[in-house]
Amino acid sequence: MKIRLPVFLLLALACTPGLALSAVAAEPMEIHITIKQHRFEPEKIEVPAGQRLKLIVTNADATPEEFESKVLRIERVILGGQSATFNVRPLNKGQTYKFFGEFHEDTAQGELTAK
Amino acid sequence: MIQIGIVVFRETLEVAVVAALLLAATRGIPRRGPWFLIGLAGGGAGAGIVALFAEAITEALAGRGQDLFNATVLSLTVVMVAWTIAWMRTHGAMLAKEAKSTGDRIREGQAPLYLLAITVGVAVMRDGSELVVFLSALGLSGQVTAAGIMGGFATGVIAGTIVGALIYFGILRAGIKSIFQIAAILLAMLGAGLAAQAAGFLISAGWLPPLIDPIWNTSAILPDESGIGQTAHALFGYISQPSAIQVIVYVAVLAAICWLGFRSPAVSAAKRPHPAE
Repeated sequence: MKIRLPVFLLLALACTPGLALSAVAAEPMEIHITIKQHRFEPEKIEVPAGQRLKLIVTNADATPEEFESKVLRIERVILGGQSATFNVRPLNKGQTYKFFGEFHEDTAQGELTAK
Repeated sequence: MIQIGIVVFRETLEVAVVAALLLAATRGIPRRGPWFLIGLAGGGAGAGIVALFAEAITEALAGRGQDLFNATVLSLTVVMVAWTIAWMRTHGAMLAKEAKSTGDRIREGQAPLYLLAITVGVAVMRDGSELVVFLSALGLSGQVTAAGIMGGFATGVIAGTIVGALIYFGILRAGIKSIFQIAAILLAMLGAGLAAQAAGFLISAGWLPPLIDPIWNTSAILPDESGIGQTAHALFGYISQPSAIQVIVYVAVLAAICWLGFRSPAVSAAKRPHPAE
C-alpha cells in the first residue's frame, strides 16, 4: 500500500498533460475590461460557458488597483496605466462569477456570466 | 477613511492570524517580544522595498512576476510554519511544563524565535507591500488627506490586531497543557491553506495544471466573500471552488506537517542527549 499511492498519484499526474491539452485545443477567447474612475467597463460581461478565457484588464486610472476574484482565484495589483492578463478556466453555464477592485471596492464591482 | 480601514484590515488579517498562532506556539520562551517586533519592523521595511520595485516585479516573467512572487513568499511561510511545528514537537511540550531553568529555555527557544521573526516579517512584507502601493497612490492622488490615510491605516491595523488578540487569548484560555497542541493543529491547517493558496498563484501563472477545476463548489453554502468565509480562509485556507491540485497540495502539506509535528514523541525524547529526563 505504501508504494501504490505515490505510483497512482504519479500516473494521475502523468495523464494530466493530455487532459490539459484537450481542454486548450480551442484558443482562449479574449475578454477586455478597462478600469476607469475606479469602475469596470463593462461591469457585466456575458461570456461563453465551457471555454477557456483570457481576461485582459487595463487600468486607465492613474492610481493602482488590485484586481481580485475569489471564485476565479485572481489577485493581482495593476499599477496605474498598466494592464494585466489572466487565464480563466472554462466556466459553468448559467453561473455568475464576481470580481472587484480591492482598493476601491465601493465602486469597482463587476461580474462574468457564463451563457 | 472607513474604506481605507477595510482594505488595511483585510491585508492585516493574514498577518494577525500568523502572528497569533506563532506567539501562542512560542509562549514561555523569554525574549520573544523583541524578536516579534524585529520581525514586524523588518517586514515593514521589506514591504517598502518590494513596493518600490512593484513595477519591476509586475513586469517580470511576462506579467507572471507577481504571481510567482506571491507563490514564493507563501511557500517560504509554509516551510517556516512546518519548521516551527517540528520544533514544537521536540521542545515545545517541555517548555510548556515550565520545568526548565531560564538558561535552558533561552537556548532551546532560540530557533523558534528566529522563525517567529522571519515568518512574521515575511507575512508583513507580502501583505504590507500591497498596502504601501495602495496608500502611497492615495496620498499622491491628493483625493484623501494625510490625516485620512493615517486614520484609515490605524483603524485597519487596530481591527486586525484585535482579531489576532482574540485568537491568541482564545488559545491561551485552553490551559497550559493544550496550548501547544491547539496552536500546532491550527498552524498545520494554516500552513496547508497557505500552500493551497501558493498553488493557486502557480496555476494562475500557468506553472501548475489545475487538473479538475473546480473539484467542488460550496459557494452557495459558504461564500468566500462572507465574513465567515473570509475568516475560514484566513484560518484554514477555505476556498469555495478549489481546483483538484489545490486539494492535493492541501492534503499533502497537512499530512507532511502533521507527520513532522505529531509522530510518536517517545522516539524523539530517547534521541535527545539530555541527561535530566
